[in-house]
Amino acid sequence: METNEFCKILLNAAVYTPLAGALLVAVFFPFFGTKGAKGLGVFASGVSLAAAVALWAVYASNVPAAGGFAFASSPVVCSVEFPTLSLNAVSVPMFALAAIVGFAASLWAAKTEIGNARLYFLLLMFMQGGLMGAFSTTNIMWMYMFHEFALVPTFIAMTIWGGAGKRMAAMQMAIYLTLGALVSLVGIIALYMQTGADDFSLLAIAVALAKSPLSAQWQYTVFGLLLFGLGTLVSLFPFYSWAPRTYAAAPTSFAMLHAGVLKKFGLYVLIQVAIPFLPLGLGDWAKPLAVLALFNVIYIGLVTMAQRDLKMMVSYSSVAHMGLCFLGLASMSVLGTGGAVLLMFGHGASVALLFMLSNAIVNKTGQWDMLKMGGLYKQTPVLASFFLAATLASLGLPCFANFWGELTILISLWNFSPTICALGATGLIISAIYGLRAMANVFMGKPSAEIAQKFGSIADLTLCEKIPAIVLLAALVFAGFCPKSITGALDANLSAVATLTQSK
Amino acid sequence: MEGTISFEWAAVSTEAVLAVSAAAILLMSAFGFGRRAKSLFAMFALVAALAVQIFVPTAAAPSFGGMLGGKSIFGVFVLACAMLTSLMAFGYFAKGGRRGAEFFAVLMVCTASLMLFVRAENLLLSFVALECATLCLYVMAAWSVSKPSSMEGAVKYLVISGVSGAMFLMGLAFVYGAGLSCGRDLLSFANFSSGLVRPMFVIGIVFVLGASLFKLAAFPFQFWSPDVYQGAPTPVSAFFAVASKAAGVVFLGKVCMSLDFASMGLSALHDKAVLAVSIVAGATIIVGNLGGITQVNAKRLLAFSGISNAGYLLVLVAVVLKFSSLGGMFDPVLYYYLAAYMFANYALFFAVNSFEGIDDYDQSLADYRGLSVRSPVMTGTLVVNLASLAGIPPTAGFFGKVLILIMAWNAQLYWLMGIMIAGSVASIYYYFAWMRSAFDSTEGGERRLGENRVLYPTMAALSVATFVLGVAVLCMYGI
Repeated sequence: METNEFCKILLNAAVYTPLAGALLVAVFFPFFGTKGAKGLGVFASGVSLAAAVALWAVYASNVPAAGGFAFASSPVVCSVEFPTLSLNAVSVPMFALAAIVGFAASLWAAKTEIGNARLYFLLLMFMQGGLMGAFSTTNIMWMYMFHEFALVPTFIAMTIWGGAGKRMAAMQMAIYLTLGALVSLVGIIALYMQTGADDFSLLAIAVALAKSPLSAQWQYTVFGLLLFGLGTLVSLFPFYSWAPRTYAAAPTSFAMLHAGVLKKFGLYVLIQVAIPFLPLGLGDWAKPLAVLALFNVIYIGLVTMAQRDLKMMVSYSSVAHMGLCFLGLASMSVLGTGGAVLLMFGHGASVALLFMLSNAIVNKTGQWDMLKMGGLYKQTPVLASFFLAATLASLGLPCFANFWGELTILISLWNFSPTICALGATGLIISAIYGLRAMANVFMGKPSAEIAQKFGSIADLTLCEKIPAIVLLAALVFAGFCPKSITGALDANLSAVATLTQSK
Repeated sequence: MEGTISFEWAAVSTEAVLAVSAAAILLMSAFGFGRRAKSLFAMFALVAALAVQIFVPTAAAPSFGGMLGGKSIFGVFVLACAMLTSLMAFGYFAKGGRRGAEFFAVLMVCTASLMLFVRAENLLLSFVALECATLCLYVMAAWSVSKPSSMEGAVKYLVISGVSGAMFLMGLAFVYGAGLSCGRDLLSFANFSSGLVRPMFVIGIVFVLGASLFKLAAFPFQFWSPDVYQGAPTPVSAFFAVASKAAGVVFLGKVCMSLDFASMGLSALHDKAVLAVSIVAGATIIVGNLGGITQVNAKRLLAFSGISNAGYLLVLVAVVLKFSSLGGMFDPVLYYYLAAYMFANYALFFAVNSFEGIDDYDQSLADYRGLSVRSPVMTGTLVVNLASLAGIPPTAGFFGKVLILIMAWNAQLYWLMGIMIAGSVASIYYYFAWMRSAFDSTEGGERRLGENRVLYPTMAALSVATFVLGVAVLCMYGI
């Protein structure tokens, strides 16, 4: 009982510490120095990380019935109702992922020279608080709002600290994300109005649905709205074009959070809300979804192969991998959906690591073209090893989290359609090609003429830069060796959904 | 029947305070009071009017022989607008605008007229109040007489409002001619439903509603607003954008709700009316947002933003016209949206007013470059309030849009929701472009910020209000 109370406090601390930090910096903006802001940012994300890891451990060691919600708390301060926070089997890994990537991003930013660091950390903390909230609230409207916390900070960060093509990319990102968000907002309103629920909480909607289930026609419509709205946020084909540009142009920490965590939000809501509440809708949309997802896997995979820009390559690869997650959902099985959650976790950590390292490479060499690099292994063995590990993780080598995700998705796809399974599997081959080729181009061989001059002065990662990389890699390896920590509760949760579906 | 009108003066106490104070300000000039004294008196009078509006209990509505409805929350709203406009006017005077406490007198008369316009239960009173307000607005738009831009805007407004006034009057004549009742009640809103069977009445009411679209700056009568907003002194532009527009939409909603198609069994006409209002709403959203995309002038951009917001508000009117059962939700949603719109718009106009240059006629987005370094307060104001107008949570503008979307879903106006969404997405482009220029440190940004930063706390307070109003709805509806 006491542990439970403590866990509730931890849950609230994980969400509100970064937000409070952001508020603190905003209110006392003139009084904050660079060091103070950096310290506060790392501290806030550290609190989030510690709390999230503790909650994960508690949840995994004592799974509630059917992987349901635990630690539910809805604090009321001065008669202001704060949103209900709670974690279930699906949200625990995503919550942990947000904390892990957020911590790594803050640490990385703290060790980099940034102009106007207090604004940078203000935006970063605001975004991270929003992400922690989005994955832990049980209220759909709050999920939506917490997700939207990220939009303006990313836009501003890209405008100030962004790389090449930032103006176009920032505007494109803002417009696409708003489009996706508003379409899914209509879907959320539709779900709320058609079920006649008391409010936007998952519980109220579940209760209303139990009383009077939605007709197949409405399920089809609402699922479609949610799928394409949220799909745009996850860069589902053909609404992906904002993603690569954004990630390539965004400053490192924001790219890490955006590609690693924020993008998983769309999939998360589909798994948490759309699939359990609108099972018939998923049934109707599964085939079209699978076809679109195959475009992500194969077409975007081929586009990724053609990239010479290192950051663009990583960006496109993250779009391609989202296709596999969608295929997991389309398989309409417990196994596939669970695999999607595992892959979301694994991909989030690995792509954040890749963004961090490729930004470091681009900054150190001053080149973005992979063909103009080469031989870096000699100068930066540690960086190279981390990059190799991240690449292998993202192409699905066993002993990393991604492996289990991709494996279970492909197995579940076999039952859905062997053809789609076979086509989806080509994605793994494609990702091996571009991943290993990038590795070879950047780190192996001889240094190119362009970087030969400064080759001697390229330094390896410092100790402080290694820590965020180690944190991310540790998460990948831990989930790779111990996938039960995620799937144990997940199986029960998603099976409960499945039986609910069949009984209808 | 022709009865004697009873004069319940308590019912118009707020308007009386404003009118008397306006007259007093004019008299004070005659007795040689200083500008400072008159300005102080004006602020005091506005506060007093607000206190009267809130605390003095009203006699049973309707009063004045059924001409005037009860007090509504609109009074508080428009008084808040008047106060903010006066505060902004101090900034405008400080940076070299034409001084004169008479400005406040005109503003007060205008405020009182708008309040009467919204409370009127009879078309004749609506018309008189509207014309009175328009006259004051015309004077205020032409306030900086030495500036050609101000004069151009004022003349445009005069011509357009002349046309709209004529339209209103013609519609009024048709409604009168339809002969709904006798005597004073011929033009009373209460009789409108019975007139729907008469073609002459329908033509008349279309004219009246069309004329009020002018006030709203809604399609197809939106073209005057960018020019007038751009030319008028900034505090006046803000009053145009918020108070005058709000009065238009409240009036429109009131007339639409007094038309009871169902009781007359006119479902075909009802469908046509809903379609017409929906089309106007949709076209207004499209025109406002597409026009906004190409704007680089700050005040013109706000004008187009105002047009698109008029469109969102018209969606609400279409909803209550379609289902009068949703009429109970009209006021809460409308005033929530208007409050959000007021905070955001006034904050932005305060920001516009903070730059040097008397009428901010040619202030472009490029002037905002590098603002994040020059003034964090103004940058924060821009970010919060532009996000609110663009409908990004957790600001108030987001909840306003969500409430309208929910209402539209209730009324099954799905295609209108689609247009709203498309418009909101398009509006991201110009709102965020403005936000971007504040963080852009490339070139430009030559226009200097005014030395006078007394009004920064107001700006900050409005930004906080934009945030807090968003949180308030969470508590109210327990989302």
